[in-house]
Amino acid sequence: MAMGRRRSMSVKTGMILAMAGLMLAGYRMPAGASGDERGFELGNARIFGYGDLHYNSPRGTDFPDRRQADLADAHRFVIGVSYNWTERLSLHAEVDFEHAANAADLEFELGHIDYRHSDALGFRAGVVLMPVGSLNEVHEPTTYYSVERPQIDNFIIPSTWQELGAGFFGTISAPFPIRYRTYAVSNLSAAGFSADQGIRGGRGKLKSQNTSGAAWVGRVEIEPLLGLTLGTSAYYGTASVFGTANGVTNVARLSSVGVNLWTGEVKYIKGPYELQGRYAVLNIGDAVAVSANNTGNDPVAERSTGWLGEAAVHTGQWLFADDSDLDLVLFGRYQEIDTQERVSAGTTKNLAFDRNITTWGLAFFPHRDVALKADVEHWELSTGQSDERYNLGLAFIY
Amino acid sequence: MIILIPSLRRAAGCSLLLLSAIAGASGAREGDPRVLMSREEAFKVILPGADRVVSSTRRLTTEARARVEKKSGRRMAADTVTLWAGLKYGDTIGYAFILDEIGLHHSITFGVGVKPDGRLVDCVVMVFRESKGSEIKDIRFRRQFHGKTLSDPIRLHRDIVHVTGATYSSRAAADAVRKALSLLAEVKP
Repeated sequence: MAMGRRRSMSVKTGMILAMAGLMLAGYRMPAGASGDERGFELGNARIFGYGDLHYNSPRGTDFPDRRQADLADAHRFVIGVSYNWTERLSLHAEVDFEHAANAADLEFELGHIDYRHSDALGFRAGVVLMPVGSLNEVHEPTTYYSVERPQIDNFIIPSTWQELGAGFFGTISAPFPIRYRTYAVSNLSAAGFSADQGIRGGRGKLKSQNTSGAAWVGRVEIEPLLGLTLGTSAYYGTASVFGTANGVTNVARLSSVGVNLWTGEVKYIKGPYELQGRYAVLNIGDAVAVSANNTGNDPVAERSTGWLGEAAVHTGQWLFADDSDLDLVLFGRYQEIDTQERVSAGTTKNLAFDRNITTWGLAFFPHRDVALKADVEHWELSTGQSDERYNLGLAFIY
Repeated sequence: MIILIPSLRRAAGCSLLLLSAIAGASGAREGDPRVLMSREEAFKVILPGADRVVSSTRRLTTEARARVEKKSGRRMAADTVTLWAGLKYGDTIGYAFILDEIGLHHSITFGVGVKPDGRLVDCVVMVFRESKGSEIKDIRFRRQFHGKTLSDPIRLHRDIVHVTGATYSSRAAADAVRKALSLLAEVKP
């Protein structure tokens, strides 16, 4: 055990030192009429990344995970590389050193090869970010204003969600932009499904995960008016549970557990104002068998749903000079998330997993790629319990 | 690195053009799907009506460079810049810059045209290297910049609406416009 931990530490340390060495050895500003101010180039490669630090302070004892102590968390530090072999063939990869590079949370966030035939048609293969919801693919912490990601993108849409996959992507221009992605991807493991977080625990994160067959995921976004975007995503797959049977390991003990997830989003931007809404519904087939296998006291639900409404205003134009990039964003968000909406006959819902969450907060951008965030979440559970959590965050992209 | 687009070689009266490097187009070849517009095509949009386009290299003094960086809010990597002038019957009818600005992960090459009175004509995308967000090339996004001057904020969430899902590419376009307007104020003949 100790040896394993030492080995993982040395691998981790080696990776960090190697990346740091590459950065120092290869750093140069790109040639050109302008000075890029984010990332840097190493030959045909570009290095970039982002980070996200949190301080969470829950109040009361009703909070779902019953955490009473404050939490200081170096949640994410990501190093990414984008490499062009040719003008059509490129690699995009990111490694996420989550929770201060905790070995269990070291993630190969994504790593896919793109072949771009045209703007309207490209082929992608590798570890892909699932095009589900509006946040899973675009999740840099300076693109949303709360300290934590919206909870719907945790409990219903299990961001960050990546799978091994291949498929097509592109943007069709007329009569207005239509962006699409469609991939065949590896399936989830039903062994990780739970009552409180749906399919979140079923992600294998490509750490030599057992899988069976392929799932399909697709997303379409249209922007009929500049500033107004409508999007929808769909996922259809079959999850399995693997175990040992007759002395043979990694046998599918439970297979063909149907999983489908659908999301719909709308976002509208007008000057300093932003409005957005999101809805997601998750269905799990054979929930009785999954619950029995996963040995929890609470049933895995047949159906989970969540929705989000959010308004934000950028006050920079009123508070700061016209030629300043300083910005202060005020936002409010309301979510209803029920991962027990429909459970199998004969099982009882855990009402603590039906939550309403109201979040108020601000994000101050001293630089447009750096955000200082503060917010308060008010949780109300269907059990009648309620609690607050105060959060502070530092987010950046480089 | 100087990359010459064949169609430009045929352009009349462009010996200066041939000798001038466009840093922003470096690495872009004919047939490259990232290239959305050749230089010649861009000039037709950003220097409309010009019968001839000539270029000159302008050197920024330390003070001028500092002023450009302050006004545009963007860093200048070099103290020289290529100024393109559109001529009609020998009169200058507009100026243009070809500029690289960083999107989310990669630089985007813009052609930005400005009238002699300092009002923006247009900002076109010449080379788009990002994997998504090329909708910033569409006229409905570019139209927001038309007529802008240095006295406008030209910033997202103020007077510019970004393309959803292409925030950083949209911001790069605004950066290019601000920088072009700031540069012209310093290097205009």
